[in-house]
Amino acid sequence: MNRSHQWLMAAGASVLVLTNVVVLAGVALNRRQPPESVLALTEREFGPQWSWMWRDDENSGLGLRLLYRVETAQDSGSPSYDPFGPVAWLDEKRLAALGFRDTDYSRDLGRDVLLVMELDGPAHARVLRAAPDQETRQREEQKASRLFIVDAGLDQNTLRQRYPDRTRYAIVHGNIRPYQMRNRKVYGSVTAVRCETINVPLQFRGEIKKTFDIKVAFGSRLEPWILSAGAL
Amino acid sequence: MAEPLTRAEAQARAEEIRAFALELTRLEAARVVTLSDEQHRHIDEYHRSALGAFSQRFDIDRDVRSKQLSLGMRIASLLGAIALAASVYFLFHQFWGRLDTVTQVATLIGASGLSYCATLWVRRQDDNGYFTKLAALVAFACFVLNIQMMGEIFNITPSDQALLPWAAYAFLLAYLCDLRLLLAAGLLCITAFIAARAGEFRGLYWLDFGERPENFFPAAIVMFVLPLWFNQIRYTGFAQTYRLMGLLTVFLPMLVLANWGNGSYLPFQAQNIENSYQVLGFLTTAAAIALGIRKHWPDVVNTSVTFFIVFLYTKFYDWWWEVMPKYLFFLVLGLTALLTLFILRRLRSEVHV
Repeated sequence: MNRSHQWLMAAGASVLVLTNVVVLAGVALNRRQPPESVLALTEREFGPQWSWMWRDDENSGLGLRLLYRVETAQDSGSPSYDPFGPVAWLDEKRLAALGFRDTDYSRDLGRDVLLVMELDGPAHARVLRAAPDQETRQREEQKASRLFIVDAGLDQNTLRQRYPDRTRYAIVHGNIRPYQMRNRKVYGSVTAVRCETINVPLQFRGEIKKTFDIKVAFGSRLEPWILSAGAL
Repeated sequence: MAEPLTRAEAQARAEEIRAFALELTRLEAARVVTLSDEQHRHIDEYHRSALGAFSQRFDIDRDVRSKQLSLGMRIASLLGAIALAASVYFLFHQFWGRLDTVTQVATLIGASGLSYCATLWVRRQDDNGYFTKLAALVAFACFVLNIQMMGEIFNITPSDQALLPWAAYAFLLAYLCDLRLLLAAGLLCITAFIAARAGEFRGLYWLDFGERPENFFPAAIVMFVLPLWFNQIRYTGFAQTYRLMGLLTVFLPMLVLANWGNGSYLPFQAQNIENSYQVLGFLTTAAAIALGIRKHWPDVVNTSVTFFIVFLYTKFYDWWWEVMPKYLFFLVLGLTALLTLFILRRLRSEVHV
């Protein structure tokens, strides 16, 4: 075996080892105490993960997908609180502050930003007050997700100063894209929340029943993990 | 005369020996030349010795039947490798949810390590490379699964940085085992990484890099010129793979932009962008054809001719599909192909002169 082959073999082994070390080190860094935020969620704030490529029992993993909502712009024509709808507070001025150019929104692909998720806060209280009938109010009180995206920014420290309650507000990575409505008004939409699907480790799977509560921590890299879970 | 360095060179040499033997028989039958029995014996001994050495070192095909069987073995090896890699992927997903986190991580890392060691062992035992290809592809699939599943287990934010170790591992396996397929996989990974970074530089989220085809151009240039800087002569078909991937990475995005101006970074009207890329497509393919002929790169010529015709047909469709009867439209396409044939035949005879 010549020297170049020996070098290649050693390099291949190094790539395997180093990559796994870096990944695990990143996980340890994210999970160092204390967490950036901890939210106490219930089954209301979760839905099943997307599984378009798997038949039943082909994927034994369990992931819970965060169900968040936004307060949509009233003149947009979109369903109220649609997570992908135009966001009422993401108007042109806010989009400009996030770095979107105002020349041609139709060709803007969006930007990676930091999003603020609010649990059972003023946004949900407004939704309850605005409920048009008893049935809707009951659904909002008992079944609908209490998780709302309420702000966006580029600097984590600035956002955390604005929303200091770490048990009610979590900061996550996400993507915003601008859209121009038919009435020429421009709003932003949340097109993605990174890590919206949270893996459920084996020790908690028995607790994930029809109703459950679950504590999710978000670490220094804003990546989530489950701290505890209990069936209700 | 220098000894062949690669299997392809040895195979070409064996073909020359076979052709020489056939032609000598014809010349002797036509009484153009007559060799003595001793001369025949010396030539036969020399050729037998050379073919034996090539067979032992490179496992070449000594006759037509061997060649046909080798092609079958290559196809079987490729399909088997892809199927085994897919099996590993689906096997892990079938059972991983029943394992605790520590066992999951250990299984992933163990599978990567074991498959790598198995590849090295198979490579030492395998003379002709078919089983090595299988093992190397499975090893690559295990490593991709390793990183991707760690990301799912620990909810890691998806990042383009994962493409770098995948590319590095694919390149290392490709050069260790002389596998063009893994070289192509490595080039795909590094292309995606460069394109994602180019997009991020403009403020895009990295996974959106495909929505701006111009992100691929820097990677295309790097791939095309790399074999000019680093000699690939010891590796069969590697230089062609680099050039082919480079051409595909520039022509396909150009074709997309020639029909979808809104996908461009350029701050102009979509129609103007489309027209510009159509013209650029014609010029680039023509330049590549000329370069390929000059440098004796048939892979470059064939790929560029294909895309030149695709650009042309796309333009014909824009101009005439709605206004011409369909029989006439396809007649025009057929006549254009004939014209291309005549031009290429003319170019070929000029090259021979």
